[in-house]
Amino acid sequence: MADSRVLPISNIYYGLKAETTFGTAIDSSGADGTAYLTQPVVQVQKPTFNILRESRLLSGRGSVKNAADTVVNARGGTVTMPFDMLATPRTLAQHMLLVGQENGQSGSIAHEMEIDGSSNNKSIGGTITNGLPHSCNLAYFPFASEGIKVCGVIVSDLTLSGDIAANNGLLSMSGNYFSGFSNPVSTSTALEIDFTVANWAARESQYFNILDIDTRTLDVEGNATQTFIMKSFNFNISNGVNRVGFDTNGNAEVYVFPEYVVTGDISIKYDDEFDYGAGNNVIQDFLDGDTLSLNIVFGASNDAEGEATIAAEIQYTGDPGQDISESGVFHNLAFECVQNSSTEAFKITTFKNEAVTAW
Amino acid sequence: MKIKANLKVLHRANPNAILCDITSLEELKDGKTVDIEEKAAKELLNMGFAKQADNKIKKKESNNG
Repeated sequence: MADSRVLPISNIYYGLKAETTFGTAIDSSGADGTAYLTQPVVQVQKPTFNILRESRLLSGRGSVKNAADTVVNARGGTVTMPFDMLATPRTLAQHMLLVGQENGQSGSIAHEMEIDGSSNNKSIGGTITNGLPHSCNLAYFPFASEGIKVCGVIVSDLTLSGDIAANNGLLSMSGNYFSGFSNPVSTSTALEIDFTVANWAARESQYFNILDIDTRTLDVEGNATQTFIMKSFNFNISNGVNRVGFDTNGNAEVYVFPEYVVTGDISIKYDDEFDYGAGNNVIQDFLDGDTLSLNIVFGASNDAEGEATIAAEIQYTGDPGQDISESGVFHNLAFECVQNSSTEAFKITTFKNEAVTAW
Repeated sequence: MKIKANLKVLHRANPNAILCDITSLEELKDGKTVDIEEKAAKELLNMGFAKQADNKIKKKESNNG
């Protein structure tokens, strides 16, 4: 008789916990009692094992492949998993660290991640000290004893999106997890895990409200820090991670980050501060290849949850387009972030009163 | 524990995500000092939404003069 069991998508959840040794399971003693940090997603996507499979039609086999002529190799592969969630104080700070592999802390505690061409790790795989560099065990939990544990997890690309007309005006965060530990072994990435979910930390439910952005400024031609009226913005950060080498299990020895790329777009209102006239001409900024400072600030001081400061040095990558609606004409400004002398290409600071070691 | 709101940021608190009861939260928004359960108070302190209120000890008036 067929089984009547159903697995609702909402029954599946996942958690992250920072590793103390790159690519190694925090608890491989049997039932995994690690206190994972539950992530506040709506629908969890499954980790995908991207391994090597060779399937050949050998000579003499006739007109169909033979079962003996295929080869599967879990060594040397990757595991990826997409995520999409509303940003919360811890998830934003931790995912910024996972993609940027850089963290600065001040006060109690503002976490800063900057992309500046020198601070970000160019590779990871050595010693981890106080949570840096940062990689995680990822626990995917559909049901007891049916869990998947992926080790050596970082974020390969992350998009921050703010849109006053989407997600009730809350900042969202999406992207992909990446691991070079594709070969299941008991001490690392493994299947059929029994997670002790009672130990997991609860999801956060404190968010970042786009309508709470106190400061929104952008340079235009010779005028610095003009205030804009905004509809939406996106920042996409990718680190181009590659897995390199193989240990005795065929899992990665090192991750290499060849280039940190930050691109984005912003939709702002056509008005006296951003128009096609002399001194405020967004088209001229594109034609001249100007580098402009962009600031988006949720609360100025970063001393409470829900506050963040984004500072970027941008150049337009295309002719400023138009978004035409009943609200009037808005500029659609696509850009990339560039290091501008000593000013970081991209910097985000956000408050979460937890040390990285608590993640 | 007695706490007072950090008024410039308290509006960012999600009332459904904190332990503080709604009555006390309203009082905090009004700028009052509230005495709430330690766990709830510490949560707000940790989130940066409140600061600990000063526990001023009243000096006893002297009777010998």
